[in-house]
Amino acid sequence: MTILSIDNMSVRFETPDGLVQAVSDLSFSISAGETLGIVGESGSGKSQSVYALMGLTADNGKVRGTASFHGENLLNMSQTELNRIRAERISMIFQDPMTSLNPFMKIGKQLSEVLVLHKGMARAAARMESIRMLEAVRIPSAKTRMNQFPHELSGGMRQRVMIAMALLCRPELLIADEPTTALDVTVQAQILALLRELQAEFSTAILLITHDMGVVAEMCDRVLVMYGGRKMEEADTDTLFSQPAHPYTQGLLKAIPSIAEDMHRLPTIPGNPPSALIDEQGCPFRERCAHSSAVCGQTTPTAVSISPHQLAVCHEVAVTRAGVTSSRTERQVVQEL
Amino acid sequence: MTVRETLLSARDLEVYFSVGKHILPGRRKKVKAVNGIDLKVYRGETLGIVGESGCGKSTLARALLRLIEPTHGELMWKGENLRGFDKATLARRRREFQMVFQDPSASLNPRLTIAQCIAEPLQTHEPHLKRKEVERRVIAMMDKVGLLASQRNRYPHEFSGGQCQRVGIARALILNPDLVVCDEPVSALDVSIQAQVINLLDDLKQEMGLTLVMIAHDLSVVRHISDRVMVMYLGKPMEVGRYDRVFDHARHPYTKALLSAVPVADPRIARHRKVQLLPGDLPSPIDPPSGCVFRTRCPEATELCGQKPPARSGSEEHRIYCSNFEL
Repeated sequence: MTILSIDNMSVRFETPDGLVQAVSDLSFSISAGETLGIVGESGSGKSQSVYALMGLTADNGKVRGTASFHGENLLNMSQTELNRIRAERISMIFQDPMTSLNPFMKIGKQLSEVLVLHKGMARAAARMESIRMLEAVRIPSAKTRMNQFPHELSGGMRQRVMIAMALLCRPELLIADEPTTALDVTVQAQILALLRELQAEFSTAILLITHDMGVVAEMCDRVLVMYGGRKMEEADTDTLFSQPAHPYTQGLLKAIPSIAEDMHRLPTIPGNPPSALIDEQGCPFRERCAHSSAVCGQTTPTAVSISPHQLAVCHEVAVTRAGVTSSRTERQVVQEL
Repeated sequence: MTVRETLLSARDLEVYFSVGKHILPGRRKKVKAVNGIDLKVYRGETLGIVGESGCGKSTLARALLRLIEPTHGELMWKGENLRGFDKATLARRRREFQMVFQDPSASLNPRLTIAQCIAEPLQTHEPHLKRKEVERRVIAMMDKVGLLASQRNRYPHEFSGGQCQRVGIARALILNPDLVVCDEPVSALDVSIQAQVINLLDDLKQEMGLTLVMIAHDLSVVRHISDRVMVMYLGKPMEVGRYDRVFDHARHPYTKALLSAVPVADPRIARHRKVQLLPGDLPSPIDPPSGCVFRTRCPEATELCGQKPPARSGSEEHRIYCSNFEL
């Protein structure tokens, strides 16, 4: 069952340097209990797209499109309506647990406040429930921790507190924005294992934003690859890793050094990430793409379905799919179709 | 095996920082950031140093170059006592060992053009150089690291992270040093850019005959670039050796846990592999556990581990510091 479906969402910002197109025409959906990964490099728009869902876009930003959560459009809701959904039905954890916890408030108060505000629970009951949740995220001596401030906890412990806080109201959807990027590998392994266990227990859907392909392989059922604010490829995890269709996905997977075997030279993607300043026509990846041709600069590619489990947004893929030999005019014909 | 020249060696290196407010400096608590490290860096090799945050790897990197004064221990540079260098000598000899920092945009002066950034070490160490010659060398260096000469009058903010890191590398290499210590050179970069910078370092190493010390927390990166690897935990070495010995035949429980925790970018493997989760958190370096510092989180720990320092076994090729396993 689809719980959230996003259609043609765009996010743009007015900045002193000009218009910044952070996200363009993004569409995807997520079903109950599923883990969907959004991968991309910095500036690919992966964080801005979920900030927009949660009504967290900065004041100079404009969001267009629809994001329908059980039939209600999140993107044109008032703050009051959003507050009813946020934390209760959709909640979020952020990359840096230190800056997202209130440094002046004890852990216990920060947690129980959520329940008091959203569920109208009495303080004492909220406190009990918070302790229970801290135990669920494997925080030792939870009662003592309730009376401590965030700075008294380690990074991994703070991220556990964030997860506990996000799960207090048993949301249907948990958005995790780079939840382990600031953590060490051994702590990351602990947190990922915890997220998997909690997902099984509470059957929460997880939207996981990350730049780490290893984390994706370990956690996700489906993956969406973003570049320059646009979706490049969407597939189930196995297909994406075994048969990546988009040149960007292929390059990205090859550029990762392996922990288990020797590689002589890393294949690279040449060039630098694009500037998001202008909303231009064409594929944002074309300048770094080995397969790009004139059409890539003229029209923005549309999604091509490769199988029921995979789609790629690429002219080149469209051409090979249609079984047409690559000459420019024929490509354009395919494009017009 | 040919005899290799030892470029830099450290023996029993310690770096302590005083914390707390006791009136007598000697009575203040000490953070034992680096707590007894022996290492050798051979000419022409790449030594990788891995460990999690707080293990003292960055402090070690800085102490090796005397950017932080070691509290105790011996440092030898090309057979000379590095700790015995006076200020003037040290300043003069710094051109032989340079450093590349983690955050490329924060380590460049925003008010200097990148050509000025790269030229600065040259002007400090060779003040007699004519301006034309400086410019010639800067442009040659920019070319080597893959920057265009036409970009030389631009400022760091006009560059992406990967390009800034190229400037940082150019600045470190312009004096033609013997040793370059890179502190997390790629951890702030995206995967596609990271691969470019790793290849660049590899090429430059061959081309200029460099010796590299690579500090990193990303184990895959370290495996890819290193000839030898040292694994650190809480200021102490756990396992040292040739990269393939350490990565493919890890013996120390900490190295094993660390390696098993790295997510594998292959869902077929990822789903079936066993992750060895370490219990608890890193202990405080102010009051590290007695005996083996890893014993509080070690799945193999015995009573003995708390009583005496871990036994050292193995050879130069592969060495571990653990009382329960032997090589």
